[in-house]
Amino acid sequence: MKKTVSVLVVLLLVIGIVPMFAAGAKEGTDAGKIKLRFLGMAQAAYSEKNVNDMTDDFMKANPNITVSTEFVPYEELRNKTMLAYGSNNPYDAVLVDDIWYAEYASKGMLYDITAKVPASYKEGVLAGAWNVTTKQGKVLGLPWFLDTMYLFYNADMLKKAGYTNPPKSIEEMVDMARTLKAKKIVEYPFVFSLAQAEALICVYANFLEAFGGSFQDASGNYILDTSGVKALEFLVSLKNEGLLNPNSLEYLEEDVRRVFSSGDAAFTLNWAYMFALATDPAESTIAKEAVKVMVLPGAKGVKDFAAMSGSMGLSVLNQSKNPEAALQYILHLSSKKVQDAYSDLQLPVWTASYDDPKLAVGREQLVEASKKAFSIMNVRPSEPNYQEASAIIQQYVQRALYGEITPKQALSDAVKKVKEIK
Amino acid sequence: MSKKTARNQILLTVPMIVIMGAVIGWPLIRTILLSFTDAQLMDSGTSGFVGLANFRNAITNEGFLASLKISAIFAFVVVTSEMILGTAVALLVNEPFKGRNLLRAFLILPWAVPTVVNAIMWRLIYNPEYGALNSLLTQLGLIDSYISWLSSANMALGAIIFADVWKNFSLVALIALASLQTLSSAQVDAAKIDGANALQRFGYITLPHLIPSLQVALVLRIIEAVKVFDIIYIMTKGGPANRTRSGSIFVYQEAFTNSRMGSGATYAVIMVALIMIFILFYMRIITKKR
Amino acid sequence: MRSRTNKTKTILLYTAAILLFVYIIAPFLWLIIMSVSSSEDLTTRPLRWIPKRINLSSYAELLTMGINSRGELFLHGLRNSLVTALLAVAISMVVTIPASWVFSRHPGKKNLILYAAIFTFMLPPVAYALPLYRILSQIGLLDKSFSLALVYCTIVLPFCVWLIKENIDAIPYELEEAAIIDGAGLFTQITKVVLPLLLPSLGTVALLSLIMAWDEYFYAMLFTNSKQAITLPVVIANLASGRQSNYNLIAAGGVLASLPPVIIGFLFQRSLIKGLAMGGVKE
Repeated sequence: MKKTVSVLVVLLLVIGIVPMFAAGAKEGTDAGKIKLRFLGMAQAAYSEKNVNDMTDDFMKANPNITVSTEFVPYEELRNKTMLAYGSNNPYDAVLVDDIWYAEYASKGMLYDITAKVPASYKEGVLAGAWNVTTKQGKVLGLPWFLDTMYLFYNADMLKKAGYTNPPKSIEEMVDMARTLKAKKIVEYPFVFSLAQAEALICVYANFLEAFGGSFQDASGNYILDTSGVKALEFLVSLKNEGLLNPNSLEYLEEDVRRVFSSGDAAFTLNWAYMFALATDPAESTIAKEAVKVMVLPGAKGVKDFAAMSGSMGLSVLNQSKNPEAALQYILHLSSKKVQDAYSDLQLPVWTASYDDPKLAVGREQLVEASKKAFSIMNVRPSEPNYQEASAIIQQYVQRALYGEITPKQALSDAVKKVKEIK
Repeated sequence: MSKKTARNQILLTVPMIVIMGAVIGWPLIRTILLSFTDAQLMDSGTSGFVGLANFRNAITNEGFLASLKISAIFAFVVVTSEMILGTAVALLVNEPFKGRNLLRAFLILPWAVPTVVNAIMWRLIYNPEYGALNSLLTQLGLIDSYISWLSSANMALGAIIFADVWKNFSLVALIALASLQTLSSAQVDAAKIDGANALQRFGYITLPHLIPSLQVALVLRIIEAVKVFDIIYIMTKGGPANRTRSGSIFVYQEAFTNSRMGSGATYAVIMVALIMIFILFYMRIITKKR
Repeated sequence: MRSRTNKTKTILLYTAAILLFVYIIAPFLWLIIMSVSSSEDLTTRPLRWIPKRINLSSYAELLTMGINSRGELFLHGLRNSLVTALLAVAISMVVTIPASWVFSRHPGKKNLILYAAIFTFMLPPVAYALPLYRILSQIGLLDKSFSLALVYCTIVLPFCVWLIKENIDAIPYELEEAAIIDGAGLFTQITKVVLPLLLPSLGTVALLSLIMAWDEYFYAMLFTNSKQAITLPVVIANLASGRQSNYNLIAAGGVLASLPPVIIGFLFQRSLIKGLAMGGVKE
């Protein structure tokens, strides 16, 4: 009997605690207020805190609108958006990766803002950025950030090996890596985010660019089995030579950053956000001056530089009950004022922002690199089936990296599979 | 049986039947219906009937067959290890020694740790660069260089299995221990006097006594293991190169990531059928003991 | 000779016990250590096993409210997990107690339902997830603790009906017969005779079910999004996703999410084990 009593006591306690939480969490439920839901991504830049701060400012300026923000990992972002879209509880505004625009557009999910974008945005935002959010002549979102995987390298390590200049080509970079390894300056000169995820495609896509290959031909057929082999052979050879950190196969961007920032790699590819964190002594143990960033050089005789876009936009969903308020909100998030204020981790999409010399202070090389990258940036395929095609390519690229099949075989199998789903 | 009691009986089971019908029966029927269509995630009932096409595709889909194999391997290795380890541990903590009660108390810890936390905990421990396991093994001199536990094609599944065993062996141990405590020492002593050695005593007295409860543990664990999703999804998402993609993860990806509800449902139905065969087999074991 | 084998046996016994203890404790202890370490301690090679100083900032971050903050999400997750689990258990118990009584006292065709219930325990959640998602979405019940609790009945209910029936089996029917002779109706028969005797084991079943519901991740990941319904496992799984590398914060989330089941586990160990072993142990 004693036991029963104690069980009941605990149950009662638990039940008693719940309303306390509920009470503590009660929010103002004023009628007449517009409520918006925004779905963003748990990432480093803009971080959840950044977005929440921006949102607070927006709510202060628009007291009749409340925005609740939700953040999910990149891997869940697309699924969540699509699942919620069909439900009773859709989001009003969402963050959209450039590769998803075609898919969302084909399903009619995105609110057409072609006629609603203020002229100041149309003219002020970098011209290339609008390509990300425009599908079939319709503007379906506001560019939020333009990004690519830049090449980061550790200049101290290079110096120790006798190199004072940055690599001018992929080949030169590999030579440097070989020397670094031979001189035991670093065990694995390269570390990349090659986990079975979109991050792998981003890395591969940049090298694909560098070797002059492309995903598709002009009519949209995947041609990686011919034009993509060199880039994959390159990655495989790095692994076989012991130049690539073998853990790369389970790494995403943040893991890569940790490795680079702890001085365990000489070269890596990562988004712009890494620059600020790699030079921040609280987040990095390598000397600030050693962190160098540049656009990935191309293969010798192919091209000088290569960049593949990993940009994102903000869009209003068609199911939103308050599309105008939602548009107002994303206009705020992507406004020049906000972007300039939070430019430390993410570079603005506004042309005029780059005129301000203050933007480049302390990170001249990043701003320099980004200007170059924005002008040459290519994009991953943007089509309704991309996500599935990408998943297939991820698997086969990994299999080649494990040495189960040759790069040639892997890519022709992958292309065959991708054709099957179409 | 009078009419009235018959009616009462039905009345008493109605609430449960309603709930079961709503959250189990109806969705299950819908899944079966969906499996014959080409429904997409986002369309609202505009899907077309495609007959057995999904099933034909499913049984020839290498990815699906591979994922079933992974589920089967996972279930087999996990359950076998947990049964052996759990029984051994139960026998150990049934012996008298100092600190036995403390050890017994802690035995419940792994079982109580939520699956998600367990997955995250081991992912941190396996971290190839800063994980505790590599650091520990190096400092003990057992390995020369760090190992990528979760990205080595041959080790990832094993690493997940190890993590799962840590959490769930304790369930088996706890159940077995409860049963051991009901074993009369008189019986064991009698066997001792008859000159039976430890092995014989285990084989003829302890094990037969344990078997009914081990069966319960076995069934519970098999059921959980064949439908494994959470721990793999959190530790590897099915990677590397789909080496740890279980049947449940495959179905999830087909239905929700690739947006093909219809064929996702087909895969689910096939999985259910296979599990059913599995279970019917074990159901007979349970009923036999009654 | 004899004492020597005894000595070896003792040594073996203690070695095994110590190994077992380390095996059980080490991973979770390390999680706790990580949760109070600083980022810097956790990303040095070789690892710093003992943090330079105890750092509780991760806990503070997770337990501090603020609009749209991480703490707010975490605390809401905690509340939602409790609400959902309790609701699921309450619903399941209320409907399974009378049903289990019927299954126990009048075995017959109706036991088909019992088998059906146990059978559902064996089905993979992906088998219901698709239509459940559509149904919930159509009737506007996504992202609500109540509907998630209903869905959790798929897990909890079969478990309850199985265990409760086993428990009622153990109550001698003669007691009920005595009550019937005294003129008691069916309602009194169950509430006055069966229920009091059943109560202790119901507590156990409830606790076990609570722990099961607390553990659930898959449905919660699919059916909840916002802080009004998202549960703790989803919150911490998101926290630990690839684009976060605050190992200490992740670890702190894990420790906090483990606390309720671990505390219940330690407090009610005996009855929980009895509950778990039920059906297997015939005394």
